[in-house]
Amino acid sequence: MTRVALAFMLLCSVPIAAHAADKSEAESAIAGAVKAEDAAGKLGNRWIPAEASLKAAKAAFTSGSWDAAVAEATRARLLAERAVEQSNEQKTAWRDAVIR
Amino acid sequence: MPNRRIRARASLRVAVLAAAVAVLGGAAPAPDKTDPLADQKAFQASFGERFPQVPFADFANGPYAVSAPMRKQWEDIMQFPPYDFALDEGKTAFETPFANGKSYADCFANKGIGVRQDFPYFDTKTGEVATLDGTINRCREANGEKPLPYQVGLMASITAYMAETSRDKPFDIKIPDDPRARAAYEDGKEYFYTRRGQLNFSCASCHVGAAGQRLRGDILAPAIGILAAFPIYRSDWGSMGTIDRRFTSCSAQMRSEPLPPQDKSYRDLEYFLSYMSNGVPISGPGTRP
Amino acid sequence: MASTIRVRAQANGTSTDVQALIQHPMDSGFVKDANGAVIPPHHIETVTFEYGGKVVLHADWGPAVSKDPYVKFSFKGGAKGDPLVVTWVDNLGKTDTVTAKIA
Repeated sequence: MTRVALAFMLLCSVPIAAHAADKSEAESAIAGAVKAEDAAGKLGNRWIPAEASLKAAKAAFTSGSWDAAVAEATRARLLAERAVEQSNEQKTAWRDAVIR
Repeated sequence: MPNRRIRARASLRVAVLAAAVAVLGGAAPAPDKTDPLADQKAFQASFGERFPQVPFADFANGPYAVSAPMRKQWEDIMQFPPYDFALDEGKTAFETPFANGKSYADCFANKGIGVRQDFPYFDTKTGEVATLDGTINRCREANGEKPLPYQVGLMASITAYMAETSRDKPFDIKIPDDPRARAAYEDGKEYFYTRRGQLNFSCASCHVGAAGQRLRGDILAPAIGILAAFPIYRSDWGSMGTIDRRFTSCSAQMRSEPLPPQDKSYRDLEYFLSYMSNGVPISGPGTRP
Repeated sequence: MASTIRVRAQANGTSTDVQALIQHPMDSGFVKDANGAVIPPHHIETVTFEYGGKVVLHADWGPAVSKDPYVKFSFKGGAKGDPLVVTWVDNLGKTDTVTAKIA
């Protein structure tokens, strides 16, 4: 959980794009987010905010706002990566919570 | 030559197996051995210790069992149970025959009266968990009717009526001697305890660890007996909802994308939760804040 | 169709306690559905409780009243076994009425 919080803090503090993003950057950012989301989906652990950000990124891409698309896609990818991390950790960790 | 290799491999496998058996037979208990009955005893005992003042059967009343002020409000509400209208609708629908002359009663043991406590059960024919809601829809389809949407509406009304005819009958969920049934049980158990979603919660985080405590204005219901009151009229929803509706909204509250209603994981979860609650009487339909 | 009104009235010597639950969507006209279309207003405008030919409670309701409203009040008088007539009328002119027996 601390790792998740840390990721958020980093995400909020680092200015994502100092320069204006172009179309190809937005495309690859979205592709990266989709890939990460699919990995989370395979583990049955899609996070709602990640899905929402990915949707927002695609909408921004359609309207030609490359900066916004990159920002949202990056957020979606980072969240999805945390989801994958959570799922992998829980593959064994859930047993510790079982009432015995 | 190939023969010898196979034999060599086979003997290696035997050796590995023997080593594994030796480890399993050792002092350390196998962590993932399935023993549902032992799980159930431990589960029920832990809630008994946590809430010594709550009679076992009262766990059917969810948050009202553990919060006196909420119980007072509930008793006032129950002078006019808000699910009354749904109950009427469900009874009418249940008793109205399908176009082919058959009815819901033909699909259930004892004509569908007083059977709620036996659901969900493990269907050895399909190899999957069958819920009451799923069985209702299969009954409709078998008789040439369209399946009902899960979560709200008529499905909630019909299950409300069927629960009402089963009131006070204790949950009687069986896990047949079938590896697939035990696998379904294990899957439900894993789902219950696995953290997921952005808030890093599992079902157990709220309904075991924090049961009886507040989540904003609500009192978290203990996991034991939590399904006994379904379907429920939730004031928050302003309408009736089925177990699927509750699971879906629980998932969303954990910021985890909900599964489709009657997804295998949700059915297995229902199986696990109901089995853990064996002995708790059916109290549905219920009302919740 | 079963009645949309549930009434329970209890005489306790000098007065009668009345509770009623009415099934009604009570759409305010300010809410949109999932497709963004406004759900047109549909709410109860008046509710009356009559006892012995006299109105004992008259309520003017509007869009601010909740779905499936609940009313509780008491009035002086009322005897066991007497009828109590409850009627509502909504903004679409729909109406329902029921005669309950005081217990």
